[in-house]
Amino acid sequence: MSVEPLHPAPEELYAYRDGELPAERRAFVETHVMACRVCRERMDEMSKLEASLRAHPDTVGDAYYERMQAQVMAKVHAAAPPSRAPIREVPVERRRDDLEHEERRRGAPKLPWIAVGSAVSAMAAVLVVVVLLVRQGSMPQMAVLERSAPDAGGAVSDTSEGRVAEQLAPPPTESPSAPRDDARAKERQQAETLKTKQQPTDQVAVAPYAEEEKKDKAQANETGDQKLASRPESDVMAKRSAAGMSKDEARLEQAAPQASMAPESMTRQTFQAPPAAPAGNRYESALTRFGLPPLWGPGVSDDLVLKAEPVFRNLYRTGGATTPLDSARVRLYLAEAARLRAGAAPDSAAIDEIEHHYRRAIRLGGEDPATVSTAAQRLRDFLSEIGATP
Amino acid sequence: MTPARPDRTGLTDEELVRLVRGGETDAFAEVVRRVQRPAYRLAFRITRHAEDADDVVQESLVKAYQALDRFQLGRALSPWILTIVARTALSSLRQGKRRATISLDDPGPEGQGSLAERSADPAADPGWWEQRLDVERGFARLSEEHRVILALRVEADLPYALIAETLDVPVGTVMSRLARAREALMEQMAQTKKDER
Repeated sequence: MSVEPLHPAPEELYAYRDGELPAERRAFVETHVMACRVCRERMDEMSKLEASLRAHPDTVGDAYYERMQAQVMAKVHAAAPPSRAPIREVPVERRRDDLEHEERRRGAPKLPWIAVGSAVSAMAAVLVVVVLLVRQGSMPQMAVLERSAPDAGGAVSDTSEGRVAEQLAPPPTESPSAPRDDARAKERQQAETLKTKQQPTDQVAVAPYAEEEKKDKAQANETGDQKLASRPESDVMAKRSAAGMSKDEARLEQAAPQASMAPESMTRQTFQAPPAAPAGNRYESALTRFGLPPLWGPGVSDDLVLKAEPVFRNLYRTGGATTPLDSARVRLYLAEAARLRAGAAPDSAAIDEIEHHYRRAIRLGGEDPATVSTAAQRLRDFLSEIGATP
Repeated sequence: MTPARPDRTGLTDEELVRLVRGGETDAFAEVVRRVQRPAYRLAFRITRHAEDADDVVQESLVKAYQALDRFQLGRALSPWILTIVARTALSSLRQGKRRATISLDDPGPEGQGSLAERSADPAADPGWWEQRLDVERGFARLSEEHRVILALRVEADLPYALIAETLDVPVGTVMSRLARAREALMEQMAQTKKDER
């Protein structure tokens, strides 16, 4: 169909029909359509085609939907937290697409509060020791003491006055039970004086993370992960901010990029050493973490399978397995875990789940005979165990 | 004997969300009941595979439950969930890139007849269902990009802004891509008519 220049562009015509055309163009298109039979016919034809698509019959019946509802609710109950938080409103701008981020956020400990809490207590402890040391004139030992308080950002090797002042500075919030003797107040006052001379307050809070980031960047460079290491902080922070993360969460995530890509339970180790498994393949990371072989076999420990199940489940839910074969193997592990959980007398939901995972493993493992034959054999065994016809 | 579930069919989406957030997980069953049909249709349109669509819907509904605290009360629930379904389906499509072809003559799941048979309502005008099958065939021949955007608009009835979010493209791109997809569908239909002559 030829379109004369005076007709609105197709995108404008269809957007007008969809009620999505910006106001400034709506009047123009509307006036044109009222007068143009060609454009009206075009819109009518499209309406018929779309009505026909919408009238496409369901490929499944009511029984299917009833079963799906039961299966979803079984999964929902399994995934339900012990108690949901009371009703609360969530800001509109909590960003859209990050379900994965949301899962990480839920799975991870409340890092900023833990970090602040740990920092407060660790700094208080350091302060007490420092007071003692200052009194004994043994300040050179400070560097060692600082390193012993990692939660307070203690990976600080600088022993300059400024750094010492950071450690001597009062914690951001004060414990109600903190002793308030005169000597301590005096020490704090001295520290405060030093601190204001050497460092702006906000830098003090950031410094531990900055050190952490430097170390991680250096480490990433060593392993050739240039891209990860070189991403600018502002860029990362902006993205995290858009995703509704606090600054501290963003810093933590940036400071431990590998952990941030790891499955839910691995993000709990954000402050620990990064996982040894290669970044990028979450299935392999999970296997390495739990010491499991790539393909489930009869010799694999049941305990390990059950321990790894939440991680595999997370991979399955978030599409974390990067290839169909990995997905197939994740399904196989999930089927085995479900069998172990269900025991000798699985209920119908468990049977559905187990059978479903095996079938998906067979389908997804299409090009790998070992995976397909293992899944098929296990499915046959399972069906015969429950008395169903394979 | 398990106690009967309270009838929640009269509650609004917002009331259901409040119940679930307040700890009544069972109330989510009503949410599932309301959205599972459009969710499945959308997932099936995108993945073109019954089992994949099944997986996608189940996974998406669990995700929706887990993310329910983020749902903004006052907005429509169904498009929000369908957006999750669409993203999950796209992820499944990208991950698997498998066969994704379904013939109108393939038997349906659960022992049902083929789509062609199921479409052939004897009470309906034969010309009407014949055309419906032609449209389905035309749709199936579209590129993945065009099928996906048409599914989001036509099947899920998502506004442009949500389609843009789902596909991570500007709204302007949604407008132009959707128009191209529609034009492509019309071309397919024109071609089908030409072939029939």
